[in-house]
Amino acid sequence: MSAKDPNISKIGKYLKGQLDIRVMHRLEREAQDDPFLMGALDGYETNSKDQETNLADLKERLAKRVAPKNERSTLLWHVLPIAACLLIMFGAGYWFFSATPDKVQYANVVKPTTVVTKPGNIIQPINPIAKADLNNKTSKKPDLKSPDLLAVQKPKYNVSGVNDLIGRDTATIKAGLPPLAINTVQDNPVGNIEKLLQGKAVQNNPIPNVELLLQGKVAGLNIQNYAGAPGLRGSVNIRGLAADSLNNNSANRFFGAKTKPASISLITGKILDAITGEPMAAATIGSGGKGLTQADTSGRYQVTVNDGSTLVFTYQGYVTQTVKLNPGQKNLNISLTADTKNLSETVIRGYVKRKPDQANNASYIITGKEVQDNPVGHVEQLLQGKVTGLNIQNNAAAKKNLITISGKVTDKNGVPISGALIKNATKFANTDTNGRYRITVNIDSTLRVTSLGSLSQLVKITPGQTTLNLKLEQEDNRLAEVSIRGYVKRSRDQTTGASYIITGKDNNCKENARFKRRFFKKIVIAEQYISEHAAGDTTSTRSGKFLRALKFIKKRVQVSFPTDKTAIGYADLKIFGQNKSEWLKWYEANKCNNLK
Amino acid sequence: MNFLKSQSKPNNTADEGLLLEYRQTGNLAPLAALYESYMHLVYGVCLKYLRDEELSKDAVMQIFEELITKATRHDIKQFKPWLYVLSRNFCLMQLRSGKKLQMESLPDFVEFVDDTHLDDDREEDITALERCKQKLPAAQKISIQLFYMDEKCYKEIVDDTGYTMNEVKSYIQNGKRNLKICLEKNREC
Repeated sequence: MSAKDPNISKIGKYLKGQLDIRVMHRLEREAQDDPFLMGALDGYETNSKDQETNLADLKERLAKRVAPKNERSTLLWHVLPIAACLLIMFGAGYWFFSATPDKVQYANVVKPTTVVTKPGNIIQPINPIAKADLNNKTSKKPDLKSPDLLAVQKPKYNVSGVNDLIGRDTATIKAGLPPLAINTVQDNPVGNIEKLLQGKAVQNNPIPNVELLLQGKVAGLNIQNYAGAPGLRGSVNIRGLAADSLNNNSANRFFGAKTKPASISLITGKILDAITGEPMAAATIGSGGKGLTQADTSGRYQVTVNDGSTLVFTYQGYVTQTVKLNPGQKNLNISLTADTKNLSETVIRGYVKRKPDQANNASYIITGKEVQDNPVGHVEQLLQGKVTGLNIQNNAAAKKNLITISGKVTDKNGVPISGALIKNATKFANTDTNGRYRITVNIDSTLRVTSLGSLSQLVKITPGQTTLNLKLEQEDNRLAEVSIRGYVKRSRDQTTGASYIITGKDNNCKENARFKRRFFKKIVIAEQYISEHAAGDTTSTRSGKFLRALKFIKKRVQVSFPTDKTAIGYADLKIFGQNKSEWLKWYEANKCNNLK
Repeated sequence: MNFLKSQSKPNNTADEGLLLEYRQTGNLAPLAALYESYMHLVYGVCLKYLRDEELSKDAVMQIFEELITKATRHDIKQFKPWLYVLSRNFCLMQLRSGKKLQMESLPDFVEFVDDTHLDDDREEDITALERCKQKLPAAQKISIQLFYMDEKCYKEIVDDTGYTMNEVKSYIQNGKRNLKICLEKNREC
């Protein structure tokens, strides 16, 4: 591998933000071109911990795997005496502590007073340079009991992550952890660890390493075991988040020289509509993915954030604005523009039969039985009493004011539009295949005529009018996707989501589900075989399954390549792709013919 | 302006040499050396999918076992992309096997074709690129401009624009894809 390839320590430094800006850019650019590196970076990012030790461990495992004999014996002799010592030490400790009352006490309630520290030491983080230095030493790990064993790992967060860090540390405090305790651990040479552990939290733990006793007892403290690293004898590295970042200044000291202390300031301003200038009441102001506050009725807001934060202004139906505050900025007025985007998806649902767990919104299952015996003229009335919360009013008193309008809806060329919707506030009708409709509405109604793909029209009815013919203009903006669900009965194909068998009284489609399964299975078999052998120089095939699949298909629809044993040309996936789409088209066209 | 071109020129010869040596001798050492040079990437990918250090470490070792058998059977043209697919498939299969879902078979070999053949010298290509860039959504345009032309890193872009880190990443990726699509369309016309 070339030396230019980013290695693990470079990646580690990158994630911790320790790299030079130019180097960072080069790495990112490389990742953009290399999905492998991109994937790996993603992986490391989701696991914030330092992975160099794991990598070292892996390298050792790999070495072992390749040459099992050489490694084992020597390593065992390194580890055994240490393990024995620790076991004895711990055994003695266990015996000693078990003599005291056995009420369990956890480290986070250990009184800080039991800890011996120098007073000036308490909130002083370890020199960042020393830390960075330590991180670089992957091969040479500190020995057990050496003072630099207890290094504070620099948090992964970079400057813009100050909020996150503060948030975490606040959580730590809530959990009842005296921040003092962690500081002491971080700053103390190893010799003091035993003293730290004088709390009884540890007495019942059968763990060979003293440091490991701390694991899980202190929020934010993470103990990593280096046991697998080469040349290392069970030493342990204790890492913790900077728990002294209760106030911003000390938190920032942890981030090294580059950062400036963040201060909190009150930002006020007004949010207006960019066009009308009206105040945008209830617009949301957020930062860092969280909503902070809303504007009042006059569009005013005030919000307390860190200096240099980024504020996000959102309002339903308006374009979201993101503004980065200048340092020291106190005032920020915003105008939002209406979002002119079209709907990207429209879902029209009829009566959808779903399993209870699929239903994510209020929908009712109304079966044919429930409605078939009702001698009711209007569909709406069928629903009366069947659906909770649905109230259908039959306004018989207003009948004398009703008027029946009929007519025809066409496009601009005079071609009838079927399925166009004619409606007013309460009534609606659809045109038939000849574009004709009939609707009974109040005399002074305004009818809205809509059809998918056409511009809708509003027509006010003049008294006495009985016919209304309309021409709809074609709409330029098309909807991106419309999915329509009718009576959907899903079979075991439903995982593909590809097609539904639609049943219902008016459905003439006799789709043979068995044939469908077989047909698609054959296609899958053929595709699998061809893609598996696409690259090879196959001149003949011995796969009977594949040939049978092709024969099955060929009986029904054209196959453009030969289907006998001696045939060549399976190599071309493109040809197969064309064939496949032809087959699928054929199926779509013929599926209603009860195929066998 | 050649950022659509893949920059990485994989060090094929060294990889091929090691692979060949393994195939001929059956000795695991060269294969291990080859694998080790990519192990951090494999491990990172495993972390991405499995989200657990120990699981990932085991996966890395199991992938090596797979590699031992598959390296002899498959026709590997470029080791690095092939290994990427192998690793990813392994992790996905791990995830799937937990859910009893169907597995996809690993293709015999995967070819990664650099499908952008941009000729930098040609004026029209540069103008086409510029035109395509103008068509991008504003956020993508800005991110692409800052990343490729001004050579800034993600963090600088975040500071400059106020987008989040993830937004910047996806803007760059999507912008790059859109540019490719746009350029290909241009070429067809």
